[in-house]
Amino acid sequence: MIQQKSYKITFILLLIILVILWFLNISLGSVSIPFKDVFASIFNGEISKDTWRTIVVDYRIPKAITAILVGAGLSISGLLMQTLFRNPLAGPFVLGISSGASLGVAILILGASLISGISAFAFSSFSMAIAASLGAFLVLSAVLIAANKVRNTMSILIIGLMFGSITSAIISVLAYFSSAEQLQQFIFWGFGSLGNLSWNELKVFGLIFIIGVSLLFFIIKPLNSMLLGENYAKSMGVNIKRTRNIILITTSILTGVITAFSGPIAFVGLAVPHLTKLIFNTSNHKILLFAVAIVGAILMLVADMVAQLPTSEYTLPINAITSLFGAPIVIWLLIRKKTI
Amino acid sequence: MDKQSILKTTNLQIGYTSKKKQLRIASNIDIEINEPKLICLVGKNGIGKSTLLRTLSKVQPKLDGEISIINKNLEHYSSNELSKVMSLVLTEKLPDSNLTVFELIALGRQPYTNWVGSLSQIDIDKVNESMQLTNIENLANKKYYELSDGQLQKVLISRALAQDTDIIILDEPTAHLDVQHKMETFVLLKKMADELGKTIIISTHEIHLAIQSANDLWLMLDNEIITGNPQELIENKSIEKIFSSEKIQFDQEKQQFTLK
Repeated sequence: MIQQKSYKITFILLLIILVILWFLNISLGSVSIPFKDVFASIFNGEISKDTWRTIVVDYRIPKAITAILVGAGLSISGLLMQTLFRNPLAGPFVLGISSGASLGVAILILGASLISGISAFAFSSFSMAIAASLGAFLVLSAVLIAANKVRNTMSILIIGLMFGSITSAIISVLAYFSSAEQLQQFIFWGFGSLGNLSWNELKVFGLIFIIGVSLLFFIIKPLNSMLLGENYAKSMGVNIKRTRNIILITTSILTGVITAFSGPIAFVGLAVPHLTKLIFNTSNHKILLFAVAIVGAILMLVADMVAQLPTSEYTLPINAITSLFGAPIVIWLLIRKKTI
Repeated sequence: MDKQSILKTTNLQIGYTSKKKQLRIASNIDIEINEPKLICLVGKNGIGKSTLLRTLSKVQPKLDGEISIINKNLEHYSSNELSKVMSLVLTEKLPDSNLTVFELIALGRQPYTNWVGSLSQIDIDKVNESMQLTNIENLANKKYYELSDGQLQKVLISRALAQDTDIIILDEPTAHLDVQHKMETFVLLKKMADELGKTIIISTHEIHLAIQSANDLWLMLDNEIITGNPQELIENKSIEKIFSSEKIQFDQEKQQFTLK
């Protein structure tokens, strides 16, 4: 009899690590707050200083939750892209989808000067999320159409990179014509940050995130059969068009909303699915989707702790941290295994 | 009353449609299968064997004519319904993944599993059964990329078996295999047709093996498809029409093509 592994113990361990890291994450920061008081502020207990409570509740907790959503969402998008394009090097950043989301935001922030009067609306977090999702959807659709014409996996990656270049170029043109103030706002957004969200924005973020992720439950089974290629999947009764559309919509929503709220974050989507497959030696999406979400969340919490350089008052751009860690991981993966 | 028809085509035209023009590869295809058997589709390279099989399995659209599968028009099958009557073994290379042999074969149960694809005891039994038939139980926990070409072919056939369909279509299942594995594959397919009552349609270049094992041959020629059992086709010399080269001939005694 063949046992299908359920990886229960691995999941429990990872969840414990996630919870510990979450507490660590909110305990560390530019202001040092004793553990006791961090706990007190979470659980509404007695606290030595009221400002500490504000720091923990209104700044650190939203940031830690954002980190979890960003890490989980980008990793799920990466896994979906790798399965859809049958390409181990696909990911939201590589395929230009994050750039598409940036373009949406750029048009909103930088283009606002061209059409006066909408600027108040433009900077609401909700409109940023919509613009970014639309941008992501646009680029992903274009890549998908191109991918149908060329079967070669390398060509698909290059096409993705080209779309990324085109969107970056358009952003540069927009930047050239915009005011210094707007440019500064856009550049800071581009560094990526997990810490700018208020509780209200986080609610919007969380809601959109849940809508995006819940669509996935419909395609766990088709995703598995896509592992054999589209023709086999079709012969096993999979509705390819519907599956592809759901992947398209979910990835656009997740990448879009994440990019809108925390800037374009590189390498998480590409690297996490591979790291996860080192721990979970399976291709079953029923396990992998949850696994990449947890591993992605863990890595993002770590990246955030590194970024805020404990005890210092500086916070490094999160995008720099994920690239510094992510790029070498990808190179290492490529060298270690000839076929991933 | 309609007699039982497993597969029937009427005036079928196959080929490719691009934006402006149609590239017709073969037309006036009228073939019929009324009982489970092993059918070998033979013909020279580029004559359209794969195109025919892809059209019959709805992987690509037909240009014109009718195809009916088990007394029902192919057009009227949803992909889920079709997946319960027809399974495929294709020549395309599988994308990289971590699937084990067991998992790969279990994917064949997808038409029957619930929305997350959990395997019931029946599904697991079916998977084990089809692994026994193809004699690959010892490979169950291997990753599929660790297999040799011969083993992988058996796994793919096993997956099609697990899908539990009346019709199995295989596109050149013996390409890339050595002589032993080629013969074993034919024996296996023959067994599946005879003992399990499957209708098996394969395209192949192994004319010699096809003559020995097939119930029927479909000879795909430039303008027509000739069908019939192998001995008939040898006697009325139809089989010699497959190749038009001056340099080869069909040897009636050895039942294979030889150099002149």
